[in-house]
Amino acid sequence: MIPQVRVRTPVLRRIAAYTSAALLAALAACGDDGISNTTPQPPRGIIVLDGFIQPGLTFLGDTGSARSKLTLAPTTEFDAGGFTLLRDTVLAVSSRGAGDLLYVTDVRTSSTRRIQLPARSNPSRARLLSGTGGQTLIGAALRDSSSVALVSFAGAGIVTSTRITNAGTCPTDLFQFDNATWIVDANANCKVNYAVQGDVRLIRVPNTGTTRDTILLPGLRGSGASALVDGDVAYISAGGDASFAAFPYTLISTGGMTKVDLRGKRVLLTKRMPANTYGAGVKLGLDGFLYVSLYQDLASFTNRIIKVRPADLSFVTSASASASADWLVLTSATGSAVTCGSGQADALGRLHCIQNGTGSVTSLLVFSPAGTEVRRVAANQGGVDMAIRP
Amino acid sequence: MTVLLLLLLRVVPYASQPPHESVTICVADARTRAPLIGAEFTSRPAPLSGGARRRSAGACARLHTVHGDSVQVARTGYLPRVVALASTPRRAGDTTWVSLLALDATRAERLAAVQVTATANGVETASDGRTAGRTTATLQIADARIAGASTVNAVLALMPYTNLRSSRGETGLSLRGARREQVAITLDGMPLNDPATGMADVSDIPLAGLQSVSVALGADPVRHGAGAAGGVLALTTSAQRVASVRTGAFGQRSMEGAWHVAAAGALWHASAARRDASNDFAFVNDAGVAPQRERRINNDEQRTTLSLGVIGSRVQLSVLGSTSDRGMVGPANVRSYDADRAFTDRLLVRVQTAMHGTTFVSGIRRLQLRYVDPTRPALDSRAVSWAADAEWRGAMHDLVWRLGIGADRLTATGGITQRRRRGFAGVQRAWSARTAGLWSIDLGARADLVEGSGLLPTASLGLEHRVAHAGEQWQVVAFGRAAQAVRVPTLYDLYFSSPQRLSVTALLPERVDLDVSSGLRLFSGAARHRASIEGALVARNTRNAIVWFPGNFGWSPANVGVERLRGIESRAEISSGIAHVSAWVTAYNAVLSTGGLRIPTPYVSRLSGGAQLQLHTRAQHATVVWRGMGARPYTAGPRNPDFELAAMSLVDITVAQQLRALPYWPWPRFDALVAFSLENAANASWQSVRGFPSPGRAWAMSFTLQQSPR
Repeated sequence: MIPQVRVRTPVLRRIAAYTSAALLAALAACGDDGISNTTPQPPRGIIVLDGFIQPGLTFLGDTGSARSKLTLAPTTEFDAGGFTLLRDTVLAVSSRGAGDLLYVTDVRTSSTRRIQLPARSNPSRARLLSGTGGQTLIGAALRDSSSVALVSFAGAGIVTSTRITNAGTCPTDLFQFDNATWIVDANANCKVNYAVQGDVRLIRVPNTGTTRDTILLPGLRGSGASALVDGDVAYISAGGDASFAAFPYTLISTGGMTKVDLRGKRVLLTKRMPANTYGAGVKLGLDGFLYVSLYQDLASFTNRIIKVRPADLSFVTSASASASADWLVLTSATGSAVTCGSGQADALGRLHCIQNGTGSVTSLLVFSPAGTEVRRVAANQGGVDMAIRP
Repeated sequence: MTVLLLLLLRVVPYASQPPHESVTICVADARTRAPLIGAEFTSRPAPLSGGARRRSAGACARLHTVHGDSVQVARTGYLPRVVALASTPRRAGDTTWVSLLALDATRAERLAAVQVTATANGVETASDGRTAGRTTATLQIADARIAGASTVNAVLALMPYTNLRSSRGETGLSLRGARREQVAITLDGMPLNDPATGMADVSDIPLAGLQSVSVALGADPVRHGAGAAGGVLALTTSAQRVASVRTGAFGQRSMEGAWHVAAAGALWHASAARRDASNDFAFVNDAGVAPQRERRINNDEQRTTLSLGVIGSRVQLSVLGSTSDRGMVGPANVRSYDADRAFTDRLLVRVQTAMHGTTFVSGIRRLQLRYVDPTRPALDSRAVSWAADAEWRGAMHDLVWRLGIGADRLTATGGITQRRRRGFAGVQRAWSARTAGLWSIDLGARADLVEGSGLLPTASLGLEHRVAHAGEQWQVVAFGRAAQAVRVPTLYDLYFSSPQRLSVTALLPERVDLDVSSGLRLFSGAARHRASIEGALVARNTRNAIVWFPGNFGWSPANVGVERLRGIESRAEISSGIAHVSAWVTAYNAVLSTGGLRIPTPYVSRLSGGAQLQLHTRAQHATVVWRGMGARPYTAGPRNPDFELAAMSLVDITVAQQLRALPYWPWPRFDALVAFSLENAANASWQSVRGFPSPGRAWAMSFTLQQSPR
């Protein structure tokens, strides 16, 4: 609101004008504070998930080369299933090939707790949820059990678990929205060979009542489907369908991303990834854009990152990119091409991603908004994913 | 050298004393000291008992002679040799060892070779034993049986400097901190390593068909070519009449036998073995949230092996076939694949002929691997690999030459087909002092041409020098060796580095730029009282080391910048009367350098060792074997105690009784041995490979019946 002041003399009019301007400026400033943090801030840090060799989390700062390592699995194997960061909690799981375990890490205290999930359940991804009483739950999609485990903590060291059964052919991810648990069903034969059986589905399981809703996501295929929720919209991504039975491998369909209106329970948009690409997975950048990491093709498996506008799922191409390149063109300081995976931008629009070199030695790379490498820092070994701490 | 010879000569331990007028002649390879079977003996001038010619079944033959006899000893692939028995001083019960020179022996070798005389209870010093500057050790199978061994795996556990790595029934061997595929394993010189995996499974070989086992540390490019970067395990076949049964804990049952016959001017020998085990042992599973006691399931194994051999005057044929079926139980914390099974079939055929003073050897190897997942038939797979080799070797004056060609082929489920051709040429020359045993030098060079890997030259230099001695009572020998080696990627490496993985880079050959060892060897005494000690400093630099990096998505082999190994190898042995004590220790620091990281080579322990105490009477034997390993990393990451296998200490105890010594033994033509073993007597919990627990305390009893040499 702008204050209206009537003044008859020029001097007073001038004073009134200045006063009004000052008030407007003050209000504008107060307004900014009320919205909070519209001024982009650098991240508090970066967490890299070391998925193999020495499984754990590598913590890096926004600047410098200092790093610290938190061992995730000191005495057992770990295969880097679903890595999620929410606030200061990192969740990760081991699949059926590594013991069906859930790892809950408090980043602030650098402490990890291992929780045994049902044997042979083949967990895919875990999420922090809220129980009906407001207590914290952890949901884990169990691919080989067609169910979701809801793990709660009752007192020190006591873990209880319940299940949502009949959660699709191969549940791979889940989230909560509007008093319901939404389950991403990859619709693949995960028990045997992960062969795609049909389009990905979104199953809504209300907290109360028995009526479920199933939203088919036409054209979206892939055994590694996952979800990203922003407000009342979900972005479901899937990597695509390919046959690895013979070499050279055959791409059956590329991956894609579907935007779903959760309140309306309807598909808003579907975006297919560029031809020949495979393995799309999406992250929400702190700059408001979506970042899709995928492989350029099934021959070279070159990592690429695509920047996507959330509104219409259109690709944001680099200024220097050729017309056919939908992915970001990333270059070193000397101008040579650089590739990396698991990309996500910070609030300043700087893309962060990881790259594994010889011996699976991992580096965290940071690129300016123009796509030029501005930072490269060692991040231990076996990096498979990363997340930025806002 | 003496140590080797002493071990070599401690053979036929439960043979009875021969009659005074008979002589036992044993035949060995002059270079390798390995016993040779199938030699032909022709008396001059007096006929041998039973005919003028006789072909020996084993490495030794007992001959009835008269004073003044001489015997010509001949064998396929070797220069014939005449032994004047009258000139060989001997007492009743002596054994005369005759060293035969290969057809490609140089003039220097021919001048240096002498025969060796040994007694049944002890040995005299050999003067022609050269190791080309290498650290070697040999064990006779007969001695191993007394120590409780009834499988090749168990025999290797008795060998110094060895580390066995086993997870799912197959057994690989590590020497000098090398990976399993860096150890060349041969049977009578025939390579057993499969081109698909690079490894050989010694479990496939029936113990009844073996005469001796030798290990030689360090690279040996000239004789064994690509792959022998860490060392060589050499097995030699035997021809004996023996039957053995064994039963033990965890459902272990095995039976094996060997037979031979001389017919049509050749020695025909065969051996077979069948082994079953449920291996359902209890263990503490620490891979879950909390340790819990479990029982290993689907860890069973059935294995059948058969070997056949013919040794004629000009041709030698060897055939080895095996088939095994075993449960593919996964790591301790994984249950999803418990029902899976693996079927392995191997076939090896080798023919050796002599042609115009040269030797021609050819052979084929076939390996079939089938993986069956009853719950997920879509995951079933099958891979078949073939390797064919032909080698021609001979000598020109003082130069030994070798030429060879070969080809590898792999087909696997998914339309995978790989082929590779290869060839090589090598030369070797040895010099030795006119004074026997004073010094010797061995120099060799070889060039391998491998399709896809290019020309790969290597060289080796070995030398020994007797720096001090007092007659034959004691000697100090200084030895040193420098060698290079190369290992081309196995077809398995190439398959898994294909673009299905994130790392797309094609693998380069792994190259040992330099493997250097130098040390001293001291031995003293003879016959019943003797002692020896040796120690060596070793260093090895490997460029583009091929290392498997574990994990899920990025699991693929990679060429790692440089691997440096520095270490010490030492062994000591004392025999006096009924007691024999030996001990060995290795200390290695093996580090990979890549991307600014220093990574200790996985599964290489900084400290390893073993010790044996053997007590022998004429008929009773007691053996205590200790083996230990320090903590060793199981990931290819920076040193981190959280990712190391715990140190382990294992004690095996065996007592054995030879029944022939009993007064009421009814079959004087047969030796019989009953052995009872307590393995891992302290019930230590340990893992050879991360996630795969090994059995705790176990018992085993064996009965071996063997026809005495006539």
